[in-house]
Amino acid sequence: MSKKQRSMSTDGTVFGKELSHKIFYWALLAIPLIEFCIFYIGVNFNSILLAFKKYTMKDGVWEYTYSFSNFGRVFDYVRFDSVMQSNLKNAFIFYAFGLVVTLPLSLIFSYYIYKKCFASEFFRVILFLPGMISVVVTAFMYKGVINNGIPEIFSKKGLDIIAPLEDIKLRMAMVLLYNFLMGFGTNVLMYSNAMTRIDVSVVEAAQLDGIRPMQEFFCISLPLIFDTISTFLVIGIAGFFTNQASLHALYSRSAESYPEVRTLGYQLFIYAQFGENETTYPYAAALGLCCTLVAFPLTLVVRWALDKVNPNVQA
Amino acid sequence: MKTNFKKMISTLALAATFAALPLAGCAGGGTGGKKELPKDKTIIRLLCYDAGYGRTYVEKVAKEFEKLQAEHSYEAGKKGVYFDITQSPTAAVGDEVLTGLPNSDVDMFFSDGHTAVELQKNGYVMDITKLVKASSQDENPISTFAGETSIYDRMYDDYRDYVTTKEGEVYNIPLFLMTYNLTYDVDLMKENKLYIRRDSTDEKLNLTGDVSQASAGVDGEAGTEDDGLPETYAQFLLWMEKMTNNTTPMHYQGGMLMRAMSNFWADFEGKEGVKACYTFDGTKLTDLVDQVNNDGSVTYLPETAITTENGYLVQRQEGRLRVLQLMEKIAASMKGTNGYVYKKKFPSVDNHKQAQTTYLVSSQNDPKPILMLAEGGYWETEASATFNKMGGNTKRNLAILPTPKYSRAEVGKDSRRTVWSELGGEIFIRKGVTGQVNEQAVTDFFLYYNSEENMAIQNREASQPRPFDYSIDSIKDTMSNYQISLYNMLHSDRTDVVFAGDSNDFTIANRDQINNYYWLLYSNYDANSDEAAYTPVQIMYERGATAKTFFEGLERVYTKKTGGQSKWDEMLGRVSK
Repeated sequence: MSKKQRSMSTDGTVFGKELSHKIFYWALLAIPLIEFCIFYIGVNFNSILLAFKKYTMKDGVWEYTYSFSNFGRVFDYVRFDSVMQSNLKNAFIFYAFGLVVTLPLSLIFSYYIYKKCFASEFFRVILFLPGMISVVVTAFMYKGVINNGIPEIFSKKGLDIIAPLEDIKLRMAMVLLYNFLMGFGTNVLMYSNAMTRIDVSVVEAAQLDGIRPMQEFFCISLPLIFDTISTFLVIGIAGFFTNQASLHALYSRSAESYPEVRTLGYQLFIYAQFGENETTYPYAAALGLCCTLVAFPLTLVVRWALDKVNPNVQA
Repeated sequence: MKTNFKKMISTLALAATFAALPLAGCAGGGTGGKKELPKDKTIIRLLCYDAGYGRTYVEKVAKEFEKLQAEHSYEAGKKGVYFDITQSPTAAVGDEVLTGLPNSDVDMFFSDGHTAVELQKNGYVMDITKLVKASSQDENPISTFAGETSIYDRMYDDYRDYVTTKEGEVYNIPLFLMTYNLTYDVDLMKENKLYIRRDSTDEKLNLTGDVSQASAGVDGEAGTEDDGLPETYAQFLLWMEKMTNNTTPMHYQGGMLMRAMSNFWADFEGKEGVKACYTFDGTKLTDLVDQVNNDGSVTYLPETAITTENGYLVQRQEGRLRVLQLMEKIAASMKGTNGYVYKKKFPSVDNHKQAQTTYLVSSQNDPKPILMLAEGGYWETEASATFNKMGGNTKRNLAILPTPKYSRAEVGKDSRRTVWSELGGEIFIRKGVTGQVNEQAVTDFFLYYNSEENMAIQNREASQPRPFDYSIDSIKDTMSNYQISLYNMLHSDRTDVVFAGDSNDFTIANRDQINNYYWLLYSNYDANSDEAAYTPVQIMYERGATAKTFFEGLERVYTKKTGGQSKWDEMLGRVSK
């Protein structure tokens, strides 16, 4: 029976059922779709328009015209402004740290948990805690330990030290440590969960062949969770420009004067949160758009590269 | 069939939950939730910004008004008024509150961040010119709550100019004026013998715990509040050095010290010099520094009229250099064992509320308690929780440190004090308040709230002085020493309170730059980079900047070109020609 014949069925059942399914389906999706259109498409479209706006004041009232002046400012700052350059440099340092230190350590520790070694369940719970607690709270606790606890310990031994988060020589290390502690747990959970999906029979077969733990890690576990790893690597590229490294939680606005740790993501956050008038947001929108224009092709390139090296094994 | 029905119901429930989530953020025009309101009273709706100073002051005055008007009928069938007070940290300020006005049912706003022109152009804000100019002496007073002197006439000049449009209309009035000061502990002065004796000089200080032996202070008159406190910058430094044996001179958070010590700059420059930094109206300045020599002496630029074209030159005012030289000494002290700032929390360990607590409890816990705290005017209200644990703010004897003079010649009976201040919040009324008769209720409350007596109450409840003439005599015995000291400083005949702002297009368009952070002491302290900071003591301590290099960087922030355009060029570009 053709579709037309079905819809013209004399008892009306098929036609009515299909229509009622469609109505129900679209009714279900209507509000989330409207929300998506307004709060994602609309907001981002508005942000793109904002990047081209130049506000000027006349008789106490703001007026705007459209121009590329904001983009001109962005290019000037990237080329000539040492503040922008140090922001980018720090963004790279945080990204590289995540890639070179946090990722490998997370993978190894995930393997430890996956192998259900000593206290692995306990670690699983503990590592998950920072993900559940607000960053404001964890930053507060971290600052309490680092800025108050450590100097107090030293002072009991007769040594007066500056609070490490406020010590210009230690600032970057302390911020990196905080980011490591906060990111480590989430990474470990992701990768250990991915490892649990490895077929047990593959592992057993390898063990029968006499594979050692580290061989298993490199030859079986990593290749089989490569899709998960590459997903996070690709997402990490997108986050390169927006990562504020929890600086606002740790320093509030003070970090604006800390070139050794300040990142582009933090600077963007300050513009968005504390922009005082109409002239701050267009520049921030233009900067954000430029970051997207860089991050988008970079993300595709990284994804292509990772696909190339992906062992593409399934188990 | 049953299974399909169950599936449909559970899917519908899930869909409803997902739909409810985004819709949860949609509330009515600023009143928050719906509560049960009495139907037999006239309702007046207030929306409060509710920053660190809370809203207790509004609630208390509202309660008094309810009692006063309990038998008065504003609407047929109703007696008395009832206040529906809502607070919001975001929807009560800035653009959010203005865009919400068409749909709002709030009558009066305790808000922040709007200019008179913004409110005028909005179209939904009441023109309150008649209200603020109303007096009980008028032929037909618009309200029984109008005072003898109108609100407008009692307003400080600078603030009055700021809130009045070119057409002479008024749409909002200041809620309070914000100052930043060094607060000191009067009891600690006695306990640790920190009063400067009258036989002291600018080179040698003798200290005492007996205020009757103390020097006359900056005002040159014995028996006043400033007795025994440093009279000059030289004494200020010596005093801090000398007290470090048993007292820590000060504590602060982040940019607070810069803001508090900017009163030193303001006092040096005087009212005209400070106003020139905001009006750009061609005021001529004679103390713009050309060169700073290594010994700290200076040469000056010729007399210069300050306009928007060369407004960055105000960063060369000598007052800024002199306060930076003080800060250089403070920074240098931190390299030794007896620093002038509380070392455990230096440079910026505490946030500002923690700094308040550290300061307050140090008198109990610390072998070297802290004498001074650099903070904003209403910090005492912000620290209410700590004060309450210590028996209340009236139990602590705190006061505002008078600004010492740069030179000995300025000390004495003819000395005046200049204090820079900012607008702290505003009050405005929505146009078309609910119903004709309700407008009278709102009018009455507006005038009642802004009466002299209730301005004094706000001064007490929120530690917020208001930029109006009013007396605190009726409630002085219920105020803390700090609140009285703050009031006295701002209402003294010898004080010039300067509003750090102006309504010209350039200043308004550049509010993000010409504000307390960036317009006071914000420096590109290293000529080889573009880094800038507004925490001089920290920069001098951490990065080896000196008063000279920091001062030279003040103007450079605005004149250094990035890609052919300087920040000042950008600022000029924000104003339509």
